[in-house]
Amino acid sequence: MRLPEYRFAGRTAVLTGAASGIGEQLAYGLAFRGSDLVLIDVDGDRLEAVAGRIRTAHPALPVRTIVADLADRSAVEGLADRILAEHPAIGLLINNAGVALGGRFDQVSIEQFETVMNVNFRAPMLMTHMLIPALTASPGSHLVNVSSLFGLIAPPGQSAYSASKFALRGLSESLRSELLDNGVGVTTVHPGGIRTRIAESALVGSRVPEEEIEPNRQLFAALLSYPPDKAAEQILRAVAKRKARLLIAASAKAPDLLARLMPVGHARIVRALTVARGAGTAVVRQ
Amino acid sequence: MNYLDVRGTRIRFHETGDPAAPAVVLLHGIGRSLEDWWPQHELLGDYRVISLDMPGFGLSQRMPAPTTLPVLAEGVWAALDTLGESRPVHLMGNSLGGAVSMQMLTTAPDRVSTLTLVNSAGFGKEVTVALRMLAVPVLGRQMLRRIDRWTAPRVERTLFADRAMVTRERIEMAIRIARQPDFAPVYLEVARALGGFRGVAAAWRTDLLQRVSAHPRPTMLIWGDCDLILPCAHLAAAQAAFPHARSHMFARTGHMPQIERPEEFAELVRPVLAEVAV
Repeated sequence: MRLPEYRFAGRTAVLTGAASGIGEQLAYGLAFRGSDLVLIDVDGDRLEAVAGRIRTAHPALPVRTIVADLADRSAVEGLADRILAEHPAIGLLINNAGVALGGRFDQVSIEQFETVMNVNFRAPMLMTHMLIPALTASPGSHLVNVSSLFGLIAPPGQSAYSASKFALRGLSESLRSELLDNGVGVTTVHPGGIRTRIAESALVGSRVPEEEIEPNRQLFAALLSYPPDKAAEQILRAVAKRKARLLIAASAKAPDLLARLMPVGHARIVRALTVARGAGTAVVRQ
Repeated sequence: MNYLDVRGTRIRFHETGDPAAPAVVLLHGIGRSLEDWWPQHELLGDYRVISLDMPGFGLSQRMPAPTTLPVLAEGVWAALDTLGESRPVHLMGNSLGGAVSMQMLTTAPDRVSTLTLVNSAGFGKEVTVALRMLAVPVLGRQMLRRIDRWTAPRVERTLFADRAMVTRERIEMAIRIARQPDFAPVYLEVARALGGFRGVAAAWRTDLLQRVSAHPRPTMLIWGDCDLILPCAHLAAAQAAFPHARSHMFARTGHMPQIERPEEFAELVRPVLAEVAV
């Protein structure tokens, strides 16, 4: 069964993590294509700035902003309830919000690990589960889950982030087949190093030595080179074409190929690269 | 219906609203007529609203020179001169009319206060195969000769997302226009001047957009997402050419949002018109 091309205009798009990075650019791209917007982020000031720019450029477009902390289960449930009440039918749900965590497994606390899992995996899982009635209310809707390069490979120092992004990928790929029966498309996105604020807003393992934090943050930031507006364009094109999987930037495509050619052996190469660069710790990625 | 004598050419026009108010000038697409703007006369009634059949289209006569973009732009300016409208005007153009509006901006920038481009030509080479076939010798003429009770409804249907828009009046008007002596020659002259079988030519588009960029004006870019004539993907190129512009993509709307979504259209353009103090 093939779904027809996704049409953006006049349908409601729900987008998490809309205040910066790929999410901000997705918001602009969706507005441009005529989608009514429900924008969600934890950073209210930045979110309002993004919404303001959209309202100026597209005065006739309905733009709704909701500030919510996706780490909080009841906040996510309240958020989904509100969206359901205001928009009984939505065309597109993009689970984009994510948080990074730097540090080896023994350097991060259980609370930090859980926060990453809650934002990166539980929140998309809850949002999708609760919004499925709205997604299936009108035919031809679409779901996007933004996993990561680290949903393809799991380098050292990325235990929580990789775990959350592998989990999201598993959920997303399973839903791809399930939701097809309802006429809903699913795209799983694996961005490589995109120039976003994820390095600045990354959590740092509570037992990562002080002197390692800043160099690692800078190293991380330097790896993020792909422009987020281009990444967002690729995602929206993949949605229109109903692509199952999208890898963005060579920094996602090369490791993906490596992992498929050497399902076990690639870990040694990844380890050699990351240990040489970051002394094995703390490099966090989108 | 009223006619003007513009340098010996008979031009059909429609004018409503307050003559003292700023003028809004409405330009239709290739092979069309001022009927394509009809509802906006009432909706923008507090302006001096002027629509006209561009030279060689609708029920207007052609200009003596071969019809090109500059000739059409010059014809519209001359018609406005005849109407005594010498103040800066708000230009709105649909399809080919959008390209004519841009051309008018480049030839007389002082006479343009705002620009509204509606599913406008000029932003990409993709165009419906029906228009591309016009460039094929003999075939083009044959196609235009055969606009009748059978073919006209089909052409009209490609223009709207909602089939209810294809009324008997619209079909009759299309047939009446097609029977005008200047219709086929002017249609073919414009189609061949602006493109060929491979689509809309790039040279005039890039040249025009480059010249337009020297005269920024408050601009509104509008498209219908179900346009089968000029694809809505062209809106991205339009936004790139007018980075300061506002834009709106109408859902479930075809090639002519100004008549398929008239009220929303008027609401959308009003703030742009209001931006320029009188």
